[in-house]
Amino acid sequence: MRMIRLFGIVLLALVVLSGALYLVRLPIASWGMREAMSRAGLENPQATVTALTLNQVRIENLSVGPNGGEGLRLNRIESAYNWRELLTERMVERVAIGPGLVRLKIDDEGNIVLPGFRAGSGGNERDMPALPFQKLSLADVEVLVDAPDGGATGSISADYDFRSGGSATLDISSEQLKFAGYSFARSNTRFDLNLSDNGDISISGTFNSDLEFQGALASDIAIGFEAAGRSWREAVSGNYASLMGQGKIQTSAPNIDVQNAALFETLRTSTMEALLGGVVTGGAAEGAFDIALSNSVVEVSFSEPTHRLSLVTNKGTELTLSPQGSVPFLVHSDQSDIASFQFEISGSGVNAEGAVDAEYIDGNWRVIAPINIAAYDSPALALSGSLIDIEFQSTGADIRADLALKSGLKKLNIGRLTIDDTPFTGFFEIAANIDTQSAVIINKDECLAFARTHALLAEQDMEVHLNGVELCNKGGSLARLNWTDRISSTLNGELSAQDAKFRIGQTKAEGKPPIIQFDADYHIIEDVTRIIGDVAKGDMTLNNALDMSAVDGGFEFTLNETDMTIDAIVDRLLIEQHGDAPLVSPVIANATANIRGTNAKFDYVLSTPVGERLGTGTGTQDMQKASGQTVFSFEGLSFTPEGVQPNKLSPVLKGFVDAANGEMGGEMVFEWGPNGVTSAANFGFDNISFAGPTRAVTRTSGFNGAVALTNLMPVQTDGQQTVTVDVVDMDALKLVDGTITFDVPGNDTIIIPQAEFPWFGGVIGVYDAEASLTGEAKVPLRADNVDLQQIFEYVDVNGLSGEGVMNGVLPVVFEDGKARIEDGYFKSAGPGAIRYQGAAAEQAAAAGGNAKIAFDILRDLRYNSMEVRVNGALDGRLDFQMFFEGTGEVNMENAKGRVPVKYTISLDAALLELLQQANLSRSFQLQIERGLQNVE
Amino acid sequence: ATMSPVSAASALVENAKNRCIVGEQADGYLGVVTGANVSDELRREIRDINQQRKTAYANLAKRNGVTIEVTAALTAEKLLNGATAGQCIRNQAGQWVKV
Amino acid sequence: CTTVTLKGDENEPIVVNLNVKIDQEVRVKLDREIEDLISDNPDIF
Repeated sequence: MRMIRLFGIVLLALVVLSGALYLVRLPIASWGMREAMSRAGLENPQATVTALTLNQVRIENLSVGPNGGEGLRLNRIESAYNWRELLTERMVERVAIGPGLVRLKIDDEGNIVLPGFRAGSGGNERDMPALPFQKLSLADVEVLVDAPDGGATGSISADYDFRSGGSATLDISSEQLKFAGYSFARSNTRFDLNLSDNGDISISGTFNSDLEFQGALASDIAIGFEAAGRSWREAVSGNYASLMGQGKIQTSAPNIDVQNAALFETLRTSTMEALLGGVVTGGAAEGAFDIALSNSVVEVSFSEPTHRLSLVTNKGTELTLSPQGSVPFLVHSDQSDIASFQFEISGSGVNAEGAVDAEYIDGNWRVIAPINIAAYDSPALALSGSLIDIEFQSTGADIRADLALKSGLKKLNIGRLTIDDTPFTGFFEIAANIDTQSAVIINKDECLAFARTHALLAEQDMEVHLNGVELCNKGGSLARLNWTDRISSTLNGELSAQDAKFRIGQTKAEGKPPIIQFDADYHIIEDVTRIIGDVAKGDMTLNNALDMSAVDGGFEFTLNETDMTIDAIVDRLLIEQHGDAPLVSPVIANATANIRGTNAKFDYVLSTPVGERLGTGTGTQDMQKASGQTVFSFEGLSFTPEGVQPNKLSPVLKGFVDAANGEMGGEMVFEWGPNGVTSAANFGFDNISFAGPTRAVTRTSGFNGAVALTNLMPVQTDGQQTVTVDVVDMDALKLVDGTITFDVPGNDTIIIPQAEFPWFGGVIGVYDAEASLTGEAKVPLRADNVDLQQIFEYVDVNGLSGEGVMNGVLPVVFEDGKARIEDGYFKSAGPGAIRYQGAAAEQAAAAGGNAKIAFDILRDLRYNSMEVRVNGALDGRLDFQMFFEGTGEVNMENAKGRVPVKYTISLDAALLELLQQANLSRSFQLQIERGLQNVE
Repeated sequence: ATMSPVSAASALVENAKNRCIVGEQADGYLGVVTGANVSDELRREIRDINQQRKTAYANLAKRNGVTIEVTAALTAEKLLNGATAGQCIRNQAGQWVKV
Repeated sequence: CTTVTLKGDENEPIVVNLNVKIDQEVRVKLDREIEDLISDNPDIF
């Protein structure tokens, strides 16, 4: 009978214990036990019930898990109960477990699994039922932990009585235990729990271990933990919310070694060293916290000010976290986690402090962090007096941040580019996304203004100074970052400045820089910078030689570890010679250029500001020495009155050449370097005509030939040059169809070995003459074998004719833009004659007297010698003195027939043309002045 | 509006005339007042204007059968009479006189 | 002026001085043309 009762009770107890032990009598109880355990999801349950009484059951060799006890093996479990309470409140009086073995398993993700218990079978802790027993004791229970690599062993013992409380101790140590990337070594955990009868709880524990995570190794980690609270009685009866208490945590990790930490593989060590001021190989961390728990809100605060958290690197840089006033470091509750602390970084070039307030609610972050960097010095970045005020919040993978940045940027190294002395203030908006691993930075004020900046590329000896700078958003943003596989940043903006100085080697440009719209990509790992930009406007002077302005073009700049390349396309650039009296007028260039290292090559097309194409050119420049050369060639350049004009192309020709037409071709070569500019040119003239040269020559036309110059400034010919010209019109003196050989040695003089023109049947020319090009010049024209008959035909006065040959010299003096003949003379070579039977003769004949005589002689005055003197301005009056010695017809009382005469004609001709105009004879007012020289 | 080069140049000359650096001469051409210093640029402009005047005088002279000297001198008369107060002119005798 | 020296014998030459001055009458028309010249070319006058 008792057996059956026992069986019922035990059955009930078993159901109560876990619904597992309900068969009576030991073998049946064991079987029932095993049945219940497997039904509760335990795997391969083993259990033998060795004692089963009304108020006690003893189970021995209970094991769960594959191949007998790999999970749980408890050698002996004794439970005492009052069977009535068991039935009604499912409470047993006492459970004593031990000795035995609990074998836990940690899988790769770090989840702790008890082999044999199917995962997920337990509920989560909050809705755990109240403890089903009044007393519990665990004695001599061994704990074994299997990890993917290594494991831990320990023991657990506990003694608990609902009435008087109890205590528990857990002690686990392990040589090596690795899971989820964490690898603990030489670790030991000790944990003591005391429950006093008044409900107080006191907990203390220590954890010592070495820890390696993704290559970072922290050895001799020591964490101490002490806490007291109450009331365990409430908790045991399921009312966890009422638990409250406070405690203290002491953590220290004296030597942390991050040398081969995975994190630093992605950042090249040089970048790391540059940014963080030396490779941080490791450090030490130490800190203490006070913990307070009440109505399920945990507050973590720094212990007294001296025991905050500090991290010291091997470079001596110390990061210290401390409280913000009395605000706790961390407040954790079911709904949120709120952190608030101050931090200070100091040592080896860093001096910064700031505060962080962060909220983590439903998976979303919100952080506010004003940071004041008094000084930060590292090879890569140097700041002085910089203020960063950042506030960001994350919703899911999206992060939005507002950043206020007042930076005393002293130096920033990006790859081999150094930017320094760039204080600026900016307000930015950052939108980032964790999934796409990218961020966009937008300048809230559209433009970022800074007083000045200076950038230097040391290896390329390339430097830029900018003043009054503005960097504006382009396409709505200023920069884009992404940290997918290649960490890269793209800065895009519109850069403009009031004033700039730019230099590569000795090639320098100063003035108002063009506005640059640019996209700059910087790939940190490959250390490659690539900038693509458009340039517009600007007005800069290159090496005090050329003013370049109103640019419209684009460029591509690439910089990698070893070299720099620049490719530029200039659609339009106004180029003017610097200085107030330029040799060449402004021209418009359309060019392509590329710079490889320090050598530049360029090709260009030049046209006038109104678009008349002039020619094309190519050239090179050694940026380092600022020396280079260019060859400019032009074909079929045609001069037209309203179009291209020599004196418009080169203002120095103003007053020398004007109103040109005809075509010209040729090539100009310029070379420049530290010791100045040299130039040379070859010009081909094709039927050019122009007013000049100089005001003295009204017009030169039909100018043909090639001229080679060895210098343009001042003009210097390559020795003697020969050209032909149709007409040199010097008003009263017109030279026609001549060939001129000249030489301009470059000392402001012109040498004319020979210039010859056919002239009235003979020749008139310049031979071995030299004249000044600027001051007064005297050029003797020598006339040979001039035929008097052709002169008279040219003069074409009715009734005037003659013949004879003359030689002479006409010295032409060019002064102050005027030309005059000074002491010109002709002498007859051999006899000749002059005959005039024109209207003047008839008038004189009518008047009779001397006039009649004079003109009678003149009817056929044959001379055996004749001389003519000429003086006067070529653009004004000419004065001829003609002396004849010969014979003339006379019809007088005392003389008849041919008599010897000395005949002088003074001809003051306002204009030679007047001589030839048909109406000359009609309106010809001949004042014949007569003087009677009485010989007797 | 930007000054077209020609008028910009004449502005330069006009300014110089008003400041008695450059003046009209009896021979119909512009001259530099003795003792005045003149920039290269102004000197070029004067040379250019005088060359254009010479061409104009030459055309006028040819059309009227007179010498260039005469057309230049007659034009000079009008230019000298037209000189405004403060400008300087050079008379027949070559002396610079302030109007 | 014209100077004529009259001598009896053949070998004493007659000396003649003939001064010819060719002038240009300046017509009124020129005056107006000059006015036009000045007004038509403000950039050089």
